[in-house]
Amino acid sequence: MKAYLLKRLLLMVPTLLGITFLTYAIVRLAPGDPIAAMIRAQAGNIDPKVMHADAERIRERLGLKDYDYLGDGRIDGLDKAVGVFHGYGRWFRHILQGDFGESIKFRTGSSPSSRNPFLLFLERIPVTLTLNVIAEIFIFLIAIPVGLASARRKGRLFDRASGVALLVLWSIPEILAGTLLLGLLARGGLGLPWFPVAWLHSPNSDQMGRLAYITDMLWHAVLPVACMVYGGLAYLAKLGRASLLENLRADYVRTARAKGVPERQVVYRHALRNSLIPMITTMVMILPGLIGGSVIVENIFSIQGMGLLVVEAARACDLSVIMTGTLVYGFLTLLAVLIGDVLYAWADPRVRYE
Amino acid sequence: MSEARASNPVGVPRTYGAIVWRQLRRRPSAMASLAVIVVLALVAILAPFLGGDIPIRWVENGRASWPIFKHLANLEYAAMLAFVQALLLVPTVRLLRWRAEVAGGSPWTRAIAIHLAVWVLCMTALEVLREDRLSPPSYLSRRGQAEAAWFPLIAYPREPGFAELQFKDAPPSWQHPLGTGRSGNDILVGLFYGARTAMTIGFVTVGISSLIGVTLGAFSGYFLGAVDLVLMRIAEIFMCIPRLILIILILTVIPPGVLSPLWTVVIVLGITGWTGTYRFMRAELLRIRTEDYMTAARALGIPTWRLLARHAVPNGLAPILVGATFGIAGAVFLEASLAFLNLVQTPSWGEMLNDGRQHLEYWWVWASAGGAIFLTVFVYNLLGEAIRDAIDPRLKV
Amino acid sequence: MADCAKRWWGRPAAGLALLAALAVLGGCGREEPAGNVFRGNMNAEPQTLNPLCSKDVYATIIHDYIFESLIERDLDTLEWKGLLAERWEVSPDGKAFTFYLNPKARFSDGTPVTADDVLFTVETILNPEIDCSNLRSYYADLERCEKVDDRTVRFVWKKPYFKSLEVSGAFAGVLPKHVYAFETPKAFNDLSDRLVGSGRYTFLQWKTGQSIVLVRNENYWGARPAIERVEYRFILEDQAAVQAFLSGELDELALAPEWWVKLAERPDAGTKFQMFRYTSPGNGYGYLAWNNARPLFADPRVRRAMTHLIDRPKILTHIYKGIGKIITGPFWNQSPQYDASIPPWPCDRTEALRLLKEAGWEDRNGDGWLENAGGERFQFELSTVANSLVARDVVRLLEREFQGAGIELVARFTEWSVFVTKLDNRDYDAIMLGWTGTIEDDPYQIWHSSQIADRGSNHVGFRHAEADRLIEEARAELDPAKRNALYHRFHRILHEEQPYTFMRAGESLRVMSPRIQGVRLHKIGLDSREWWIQGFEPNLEEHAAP
Repeated sequence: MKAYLLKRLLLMVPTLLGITFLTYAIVRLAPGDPIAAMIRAQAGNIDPKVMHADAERIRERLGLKDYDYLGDGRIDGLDKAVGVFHGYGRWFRHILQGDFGESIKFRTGSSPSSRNPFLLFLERIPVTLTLNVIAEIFIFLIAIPVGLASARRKGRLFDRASGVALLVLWSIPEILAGTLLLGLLARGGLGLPWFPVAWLHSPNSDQMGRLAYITDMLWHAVLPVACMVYGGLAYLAKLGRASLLENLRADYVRTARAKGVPERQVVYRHALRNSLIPMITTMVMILPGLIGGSVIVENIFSIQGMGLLVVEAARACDLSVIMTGTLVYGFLTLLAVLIGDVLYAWADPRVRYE
Repeated sequence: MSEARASNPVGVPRTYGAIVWRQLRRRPSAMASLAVIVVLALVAILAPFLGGDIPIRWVENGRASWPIFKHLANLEYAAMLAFVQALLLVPTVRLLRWRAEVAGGSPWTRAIAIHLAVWVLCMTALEVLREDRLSPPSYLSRRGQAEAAWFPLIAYPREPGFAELQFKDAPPSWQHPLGTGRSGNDILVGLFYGARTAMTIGFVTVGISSLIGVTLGAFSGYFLGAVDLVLMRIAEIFMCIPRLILIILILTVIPPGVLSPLWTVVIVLGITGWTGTYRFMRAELLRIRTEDYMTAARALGIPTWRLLARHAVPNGLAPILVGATFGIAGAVFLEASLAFLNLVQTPSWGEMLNDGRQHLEYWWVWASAGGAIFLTVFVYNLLGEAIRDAIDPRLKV
Repeated sequence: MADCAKRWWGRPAAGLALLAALAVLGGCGREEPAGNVFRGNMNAEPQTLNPLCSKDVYATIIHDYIFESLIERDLDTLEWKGLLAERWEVSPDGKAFTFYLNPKARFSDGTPVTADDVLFTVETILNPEIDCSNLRSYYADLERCEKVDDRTVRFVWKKPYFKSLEVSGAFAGVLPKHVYAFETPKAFNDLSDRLVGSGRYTFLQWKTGQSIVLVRNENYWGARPAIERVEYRFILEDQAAVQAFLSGELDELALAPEWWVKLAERPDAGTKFQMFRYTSPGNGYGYLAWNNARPLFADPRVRRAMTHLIDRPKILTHIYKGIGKIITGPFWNQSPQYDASIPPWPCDRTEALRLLKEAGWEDRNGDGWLENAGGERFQFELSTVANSLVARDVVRLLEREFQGAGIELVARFTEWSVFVTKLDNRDYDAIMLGWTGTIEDDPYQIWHSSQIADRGSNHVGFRHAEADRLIEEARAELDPAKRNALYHRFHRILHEEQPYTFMRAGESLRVMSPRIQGVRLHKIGLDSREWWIQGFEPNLEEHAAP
């Protein structure tokens, strides 16, 4: 087991490096000067002259500066080409030291380190993760029973109807669902005033007790989570169905049946357990997809999570934040894949010895 | 093996593609989906005939004219031609197959090549010979002056002007079957023209990402070794970053004004969505490369590129088709998300939905746009599932 | 089979039910008695709350609670009255202003407001490395600011300027030197949430992403306000904000015309919430700018033709729901600077085409487009900011209408940042934008030809010798009647030349929950200092109207 874990961790490293390089390359190779764009983006808020010094420092820290490598007095194409790799190296070194650049637009407080993009993300990761983990749980609790029930009633009405229903749900755009949920189930809207309009906590939540705080958060999370759950059901349910079907066809099931094991034991104790394995790992792996997609939900419900940060940083050309964000997302995905693989290896010993 | 030309008395399909098609034909959901898609394409192409203020036929002072044809853009003619040629594709293939005696080359490839050449020729001629950006005179307001006038189905301007402002936010009625929107624009007409954006985004995006994915996947799966290692890592890297985030990153650093917003979106969507196709193609190539016909072709000394292009890739296209179909649905969704986030500004269903969601009580706006998106995505998803089931080897006859 | 289904269904289903129950329970008893708190909303979080460097309107709202200036306007008479200064003197030549600080004036930490603080504030503004160039430009003609004694400050200007009193006494809140003294300008620029002033409220906290909270200054040197706490939260979407307001989570909301009308149509409009509609100079106006430097728009006849092509009344009636006013000049339309006798150019396509023909533009080859003698088509780009739905509607409307007249207008929607660059570089054909205004405007910055170069605000390139002269004369004219007569002549020139097509002056539309009492509509708006929360009526002696 340990060997497997080690091997997977080692394989992660080049991919992680690759993610950092891709992010850097996109920013570096795009036409125009992204730092200048950043200065322009703040033109309404910060005087370009005042910002210039800060921006140049950020340029240096992000490794976006051009140097004259050939020493011929000009910076031409060859210098730029070499600069891509050298600049990447510089940026990478900065990152290893914990210097992710500086956010132009956001801050976490008023201390000098409040503009550290990494801290910005750290602040918001719990929010996004909370939402997404709750959504995952619900997807799991709903999709898997439906998928398994479909498998057992293959070809019959329930199977067909649920298949179509899930596909219908999958096809509803999230924007529409979110707006409808907000308008019909939130207070002050056109429908039932059951749920709050925005945020994950009530304003006076600091003064609440533990239990009240949690129930308050759950109450706030209902609509955003509903928005994230309905679309994710289809995939997992189909997977569960396919997985159980596959297992029900397997030889060991036939053997068990031939041996006279009662049907329900066959299904629940044998086939089910085996079919759950790929689903658990899939669940872990779709988490990053959810996180990436929660941008819309965060926007509609004014929840200050990672997605909202990235979008607002994009609008403001806040390079440090965007680059750090891409890294964070990439890293979280890799982590999720790793956990998924490890879980799979733990559950299915055959994988470890491949 | 992709083309069995032996005579077939019973009519049992022998080619892989024909088998898949037969499977699809049996599923009513798949046929319905295809029908809806064809209707959507027709609506997209014939939008000016369905909604607009330029008449199809206009008789004034005893002279008849057909103004709509004068004011159609060259691009619109090109799209119509492409549609007609797409319909003619199957008969062309049949014709080629009936005539061809010599082995080698797929009639499909030849047919596509012929049609493509014809299309490019016609398009160029049109561009060179015809000046198409005319400013049309006002016809609707002079309706009384004509002895006879055939207007499009919904005789209302595509984009509202001052005169149409007074009709804004009106619920569905006889003149406006789906009501009007923020500036007096007819929602149904907006849906017609939005179909164009949806189709363009869907097909071109998936076209780009499929091209990239198929090429890279074929190289990866066939050559293996270092090529495969590098490409796999690159794909992994792309897969690790959520697509929306990657799109946001790219859109941020592209300077504005380089391309029209629609094409910017399409290209960015296209170059970020290739990883799925890549994996499928690679898996197929891994399977195919050891097949007998491949070994035989290699022994015959057929150059690698022809091997890949003419034999390997066409055989591995089936799962790609599934991915492409789901990809189109995904692209339509993504465009709506980008419109919602105000990162793009193209007139489309996504934009209509974004407009309409601010005022829920004008339900016709968001319901129409949302419904259109839903229907398109649903239909493509349905089709994708059907194709996936059809190519599942376990279900074969 | 059935009980087995229950058996393995059982646990996940129970978990589901428990979570659901908790979630709904969380909503029970949600009626939070809000207390002596005023809860407002901001559509976007301010980027910084730095008292001098911040440039967005949300930060200004917060600063108005915390900082005070030397003098302020009476909201009804519009005359100046003393705030931190109990009285002031103007020298006979109009170049020196002496302010006598109120001895009672204190900052929230108890320290008295002295001339040193005023001096410090002005010096900081004048420091070229402090990020407040917009503010600083107004002090360009300040010769010196000197301390006469601990409680007296004098501003001496190089030449008489009718706005000198305003700039001296009312342009910035006084900052306490002992709090804001800085070692490097950058340290000051970076200050984001240190807010200590002499005003009625003090800054409690800014939880990024959540709220900004202010509490009443219990040490306030004047009459304390009745409301104890002010909280601003961030709801980004209009519809969500309206819903929050209607469900009682917000006490006040500023609305766009389409929402205002929607709320006004509700049967419970007067009872469930109060509605206030008024015009104030801060509403500003929208305009279309035709880049005078481009050959296309160099001819005033062409610019006038553009105005004739735009049906402003229809836009006002339908898109803005009839709220606002079509204007013909850059001043606040309720002020004496504005010449109300000038009627707006009517929408008249025939007249527009006639003017264009005079200027050399007509359809010479029957393709429906206008061409000039050289065969070039009349074609230009109209840019506006990307995320305003209303702006987008108007621009698309114009695109269509101009096409009907034979002009190819291409609409471009860009991010604000790109926009500002375009303006600075004068790199546009036409744009749609707006300016905010003040009670008394000096058109120098926007209209004088000296402001064309160096990224000045005259981005449209308006150059008119007589207009320049009128502006300069008016600046030095201290008699309001004569000055306004000069401005009327200037207004007429703008009307003839049409460097802008002036569109619409906006109005303030605010709704308030019935919790907020004591709200009175003054001539230029509302005064939050006189409000109180229902149930927390103030002691009348304590709470004297300011």
